[in-house]
Amino acid sequence: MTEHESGVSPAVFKQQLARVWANLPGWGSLAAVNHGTIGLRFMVTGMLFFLVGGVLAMLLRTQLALPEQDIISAETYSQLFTMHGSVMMFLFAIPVLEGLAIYLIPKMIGARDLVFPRISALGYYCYLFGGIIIMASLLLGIAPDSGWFMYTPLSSSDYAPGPGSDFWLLGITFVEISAMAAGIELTVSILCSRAPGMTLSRMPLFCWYILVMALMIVFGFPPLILASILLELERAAGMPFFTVAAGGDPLLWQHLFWLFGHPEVYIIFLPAAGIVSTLIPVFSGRPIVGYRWVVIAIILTGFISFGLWVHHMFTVGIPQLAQAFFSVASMLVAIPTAIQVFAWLATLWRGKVVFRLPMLWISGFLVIFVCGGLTGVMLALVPFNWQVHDTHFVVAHMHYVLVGGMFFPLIAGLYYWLPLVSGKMPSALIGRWGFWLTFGGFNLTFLLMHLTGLLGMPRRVYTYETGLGWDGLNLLSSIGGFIMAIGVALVLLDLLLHFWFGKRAAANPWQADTLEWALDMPPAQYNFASIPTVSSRQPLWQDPQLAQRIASGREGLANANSGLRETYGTSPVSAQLQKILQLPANSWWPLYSALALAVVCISLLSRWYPFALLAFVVSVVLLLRWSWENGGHPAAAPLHLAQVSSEQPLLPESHTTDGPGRWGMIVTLLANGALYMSLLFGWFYLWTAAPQWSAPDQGPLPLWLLLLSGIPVCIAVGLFQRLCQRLAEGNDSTLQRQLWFSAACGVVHFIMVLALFMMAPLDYSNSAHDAVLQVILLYLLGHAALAMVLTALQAIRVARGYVSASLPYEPQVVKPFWFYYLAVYWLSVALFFLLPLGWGALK
Amino acid sequence: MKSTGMSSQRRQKARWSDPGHPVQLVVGLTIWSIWFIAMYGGLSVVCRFAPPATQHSPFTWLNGGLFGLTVLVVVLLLLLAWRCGRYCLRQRRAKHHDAGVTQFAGYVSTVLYLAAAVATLAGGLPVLVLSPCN
Repeated sequence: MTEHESGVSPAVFKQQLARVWANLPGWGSLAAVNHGTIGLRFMVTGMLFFLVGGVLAMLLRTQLALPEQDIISAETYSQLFTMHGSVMMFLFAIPVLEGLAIYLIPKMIGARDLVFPRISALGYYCYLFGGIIIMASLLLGIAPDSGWFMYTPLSSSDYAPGPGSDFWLLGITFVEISAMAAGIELTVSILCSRAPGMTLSRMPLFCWYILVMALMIVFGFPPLILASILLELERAAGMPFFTVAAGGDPLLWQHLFWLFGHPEVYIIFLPAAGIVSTLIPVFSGRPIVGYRWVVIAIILTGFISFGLWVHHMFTVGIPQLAQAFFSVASMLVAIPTAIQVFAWLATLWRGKVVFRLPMLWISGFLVIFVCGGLTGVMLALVPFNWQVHDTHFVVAHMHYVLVGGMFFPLIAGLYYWLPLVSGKMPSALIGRWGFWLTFGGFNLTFLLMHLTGLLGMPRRVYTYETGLGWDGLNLLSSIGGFIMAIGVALVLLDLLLHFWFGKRAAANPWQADTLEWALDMPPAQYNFASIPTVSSRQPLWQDPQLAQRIASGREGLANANSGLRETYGTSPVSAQLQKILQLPANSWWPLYSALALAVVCISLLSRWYPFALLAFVVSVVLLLRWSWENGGHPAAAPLHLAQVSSEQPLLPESHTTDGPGRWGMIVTLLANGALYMSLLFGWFYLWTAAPQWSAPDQGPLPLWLLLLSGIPVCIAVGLFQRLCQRLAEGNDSTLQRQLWFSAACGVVHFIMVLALFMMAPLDYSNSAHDAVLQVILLYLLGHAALAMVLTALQAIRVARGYVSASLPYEPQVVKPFWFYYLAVYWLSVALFFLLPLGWGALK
Repeated sequence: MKSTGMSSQRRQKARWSDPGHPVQLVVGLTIWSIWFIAMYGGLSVVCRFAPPATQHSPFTWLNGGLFGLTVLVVVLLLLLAWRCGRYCLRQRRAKHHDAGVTQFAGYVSTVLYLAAAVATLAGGLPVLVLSPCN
């Protein structure tokens, strides 16, 4: 054992680090924020939901095994298939992959944690509580029954009067907070906290996949969040966004849903493909062929997958030319996927493949996913799509893509990283049995289901008459389903048992190349005792001694003297060392905030609106209180530079004008912008497509007041920009006064918008036009209020000494919010209030 | 470990419009996205409010306009690809510290511009054979 630079022995130094990074004992572990803990919680919870979803699937297959069975009623069957789809997509697939990414990304990029650990914890609790709320509906027998895509008007009050749809809309939106949190957190962490030297061109492919997936979440989830809010507003407050008679259109739901829904397929696929791109080189013993081409394919997939959504709607009556645009895009997306498949095959071809257990699952993935991709190209063709629409062919295709494209790589990944998590090896024998039963059972179920669909069996029917040629195929599909279930059960058993009976794993048991295998097995909470400098895409293959140097504290940031959780902040492109990021430790705020949000959700479900409003206010207060412990607050970072523990002249984030917080704000605003654009899309869609859309010739709001109320926002933004600039130059004189003045401008603006809102003669329960205007006014009001409060808080923080010339960071974080609001306000005035004045001419 | 020098930091502060800047990785496909929205949105609005007189032929002013837009965007993307590609070739000889990153970004951006051009052309071809509003 050698001493590291500070003269402390590695053992003592690691004890110091362990103390700083430890979770609280007992119930205190609920306050844990460390990415390792949170990532594992996500995965374990996701697997539990997977078991529920699997049981539901077995019930469905039992019912369909023979014709004319009445084991399950039509009503219950509808609940079961709705819940099966919803649980698998929203409570299993996305959260498990997010959990895997949360667990692995810091370890792969050479960081000690994600950059917003408390956001990770909030995301987990939102997911857990949202999932429990949704599952409660199943236990109470009032589960949603309109399909996992909740098409209107089937899910509207007229045809779904019970609370099932509300459970879905509120519960799923709650869970989506978690997905958004992970999307923002992962994006910023990958861009801002990679180990020094890990340039974009040296980043592990898995990180590229997760980066694009995270950005897809940021842009892809807001349309569904908006759609869920609008539908819940229609159900609860009678705002008729999807009701034809009042100028709405049920197809708007389909557009918004699939604007999310198709990218979601790739949000699920990309991390899984990232697992494949990580494992194949390891088991082939050589770097991946065509690294740059795989990056190109990932970025292409991320973009093109947003241009396919209408292929789910080919039968709703869209003009042929418009269908052709989406048909072509649907075929184009096969190209980047093919690039990846060829890169994987070439790597296998050029390497010496070792068929260990994870590789078996990768092989299964390649077979199944390629078949699913091919039927996907078939479905991209409009005439074929019309023929098999809503048949079991589509169900079979979807399962080939999702189970092949996500589940098989996921299990491969779990087997691969299991020794890292537990330090033990799984049983190869049970694992192989599990694989072959799953693989065989899956193909028996779903390969035959293609035929059932081609023979015309529609999906979502709870039974069928005998003699239609579907009997034998359905029976075999059900048998296959149960074989697959046995296979999955064996795999889960193996994963569970290995914690007790698994053999101790050797260091880096697969001879892998990425940084996570340089860690202890299982890894310490702080990951890296010292943070390495990376000079290759395969750091462990290039430098086999790296793990020892990291462990003995001979790399960077090898001290724990400050008593704070620290990691490196680096530049997004070149990964040049820029600053020290001081990360928050255990905190109860995420749990409290999520609990308050859960109360909001439950109050809305029980239609107890005053209490929901109260709980909402409590949630906001809690979140603002949480935000108080940020930046220059003593609980978040030392107030004076002398307290910073660093062997080098690096500043902590709070002493600079840029950092992950600012990036986080910008990425959050991108998501916010996607939500706003979705609302804008809805506005224009209803205008152009709703059969009974009607708008008044005169705008409902006084234009002069709209224009006038924009002036204080312009003044506030101008002031804020100026004070930020001066602060960056080291000038904090009159800072507090300027902040108060900005906040006051915000107050004036807020009051004016509130007056507009109060005086607007909007008949929101009888006109979709007025209902949309009501929503946009609420959106503007909420943002104006938040800008005002955040600015006032900054002024108070100046008084407390948390913001100053030496701590100039926080106003730089708030600034983009003001600019966003300014842009959104004027855009709204132009597009929601000025433009419609010209609609009369078009009518 | 030492923090990097000022000269390389200055080099890093490249403008977003430079061919080696990582923003270029997404510019081409962002243009494709805007083109896609303009095609679908434009078609929908025109078919709703001012559909061409000829309903059963692709030879309408609307199809002509959409194809013209497609050609313009394809040309723009090809020009951007050429610019990025040329930069990439020059960077091959560069010796400085972060040449690898900019060359990587330049290469990937070039291919992505070309891919965006192909996607635009492929998406725009149906306007030559299908009538717009049926």
